[in-house]
Amino acid sequence: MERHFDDELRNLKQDILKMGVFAQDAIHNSVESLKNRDRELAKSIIENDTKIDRLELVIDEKCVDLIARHQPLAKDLRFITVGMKLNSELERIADIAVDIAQRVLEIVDKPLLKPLVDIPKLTVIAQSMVKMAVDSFVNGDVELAKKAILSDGEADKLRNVITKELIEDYMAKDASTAPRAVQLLLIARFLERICDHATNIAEDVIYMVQAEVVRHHPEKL
Amino acid sequence: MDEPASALDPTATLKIEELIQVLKKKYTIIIVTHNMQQAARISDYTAFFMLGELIEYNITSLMFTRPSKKITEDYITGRFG
Repeated sequence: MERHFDDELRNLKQDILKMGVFAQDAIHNSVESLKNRDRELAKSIIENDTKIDRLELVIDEKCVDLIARHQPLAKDLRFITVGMKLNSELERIADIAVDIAQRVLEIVDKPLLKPLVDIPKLTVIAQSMVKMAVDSFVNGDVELAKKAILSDGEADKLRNVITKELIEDYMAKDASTAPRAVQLLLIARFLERICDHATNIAEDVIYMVQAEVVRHHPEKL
Repeated sequence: MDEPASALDPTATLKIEELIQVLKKKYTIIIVTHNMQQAARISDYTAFFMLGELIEYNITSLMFTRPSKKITEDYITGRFG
């Protein structure tokens, strides 16, 4: 029998999905602002973050309200507690997009240190991981969640390649490149952190669907 | 309704509570219950009475997440009653 409570759970899911869309847009725009050297786009990401922060508070409030009023158990409880964690992870992802936009503002008026090759590749991985993680939550898709988690190794490797190149080929050879190289280093680091948050989301989705903790247990994947 | 689901099993209770959700769109319904979980689940507003005295009245979600009076908080968290 359909419960009134189910409508409220669907409503919560819609809000979390909206949070996921906002976070994905923020990542996309932050890297577009770097690629196109677009100061206005970078600024808009920083300004839009307030909207995401507000939604985070709304979702948190709804989760607490649902727990207090319905005393959820089993899969309902897992859905709401995971929803709260996803909410925080997505808000952090949006904050990282703001961090990227701030780095972009530092270098937007200076000549590019090097053509951007690996950072856009890392961006594609980060965006794809966040999308897979959010979709796996929406559809309760464990296989998609696992796919997102397994992509993280690729992101780590690429971040290491970018770090090595910027240090060895630029900063070590010509110290005057350091101010611009450091910004790119940070951006690569931020993108890799987004992948870590996507991994956390995907691990929580597996817990939500299967009641199995895979976090810190890679052998269970 | 005075204790509308007090002697019912969970399935029958769910049917009554879902009916209340439908009826509340047309009618104002007052339920007297000692079952706080039920009050929290199905009501929009909650009043807490003790010994015939109205202690607190508020939106249900506020009543069960941040009651304004300590005595209400103690009651709904099972510290007395």
